[in-house]
Amino acid sequence: MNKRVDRIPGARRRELMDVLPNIRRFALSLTGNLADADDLLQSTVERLLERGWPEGAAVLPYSLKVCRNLWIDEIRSRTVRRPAQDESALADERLAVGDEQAIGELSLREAQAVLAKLPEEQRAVLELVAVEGCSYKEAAGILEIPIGTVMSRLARARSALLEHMHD
Amino acid sequence: MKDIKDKPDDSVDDVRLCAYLDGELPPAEADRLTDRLAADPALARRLEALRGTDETMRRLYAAVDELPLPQRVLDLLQDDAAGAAGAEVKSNVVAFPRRGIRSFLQMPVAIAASVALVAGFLVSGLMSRDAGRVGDPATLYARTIPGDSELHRLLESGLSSEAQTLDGGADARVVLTFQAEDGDWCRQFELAAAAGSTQALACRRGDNWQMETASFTDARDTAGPYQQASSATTPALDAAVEALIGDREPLAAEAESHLISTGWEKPEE
Repeated sequence: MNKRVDRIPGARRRELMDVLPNIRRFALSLTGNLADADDLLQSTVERLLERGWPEGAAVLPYSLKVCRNLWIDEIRSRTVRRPAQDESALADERLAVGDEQAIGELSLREAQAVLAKLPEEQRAVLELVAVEGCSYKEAAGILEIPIGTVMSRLARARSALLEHMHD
Repeated sequence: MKDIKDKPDDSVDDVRLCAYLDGELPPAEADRLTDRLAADPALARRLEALRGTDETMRRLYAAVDELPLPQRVLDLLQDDAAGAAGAEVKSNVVAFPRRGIRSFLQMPVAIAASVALVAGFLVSGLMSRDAGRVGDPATLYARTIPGDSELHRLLESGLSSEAQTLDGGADARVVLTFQAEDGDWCRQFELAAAAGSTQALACRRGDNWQMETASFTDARDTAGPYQQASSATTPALDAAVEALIGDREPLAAEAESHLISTGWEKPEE
């Protein structure tokens, strides 16, 4: 799997290095569990190394788009690692942070459980906007959805989180 | 949602509130919503609650960042880089240059600075379950600080460097007092809570204090406890003070005390 493509210069590879955490977080928002997220991260990096990314294109949004497309087109359908019974995939113990400090009325552990209940597309929008700091336009571009859809999914995601927080 | 008051509007308004807090509303619409937030504490609380979910998300994903990246992915890039450099460094993996998650965060920019930046403080205010006074979003979303608020009282009668603890538990103190070039009195002040501190500037217009600007410093972005972070004012705030103060000097303690006792009279120019 490890294809060496010398036409990607070292400087660009380092750019890619720098955004690995971002790709991984986004991948986690898609897959809902870290094991699949890390597989998706690997596939994304391989794809980027194979095919490169356009000259002048910012590596981060491009990488996230590649990541999302790989997930939708190729990986999601064959991912059986975490079947439906593991609803709390995002609460996977490898993510257990040991930090029970309450945020509002929600501990991080609860937040993980709540996040796992959200549909994948809501998690992805929320991650892009709230965590990566994407504009709606950037998020729409990465997810290939209209801005209006970004807005409604985002509102639903935040609202659902709040609702579960107060359950 | 158990408490209907927590959700003052339908989901259409959540969309707008989200767009507002993400800095995605057109300026005119954002201004209208700012005014509405100032007049509608329930709506303002809803906004802060929505904002709070983002903070939760960031911390959650920050926890993920603490886990090492898979070696097989690092190897992919490492091998590749080594190939380009013509050297074999396979067994000597360079430590991954970790970036803090926060470096990717952007504050919403389209919202008026005095609203967006103060809001950071409000999160902490609400987190400490401070439902009223200075922690009440309506207080700070208003450009005019309500005359019956604690913040108004602080600005009206607080002496510089005399720290007060507000009802919500936040520490507050006036940092300096000066007369702006237009003759109005202005005060830089600071609110500090566990989550961070807000440095802000308000000026007395007529009998009211109006927010000029504010900036929030997250406690996690500063080395020491927040009390020590207070000495680090932000460039934006410094610039705002400089623009107003011109070549005047801040008031000395005695002059400030006299000014407070005489009801903020403006000297004849």
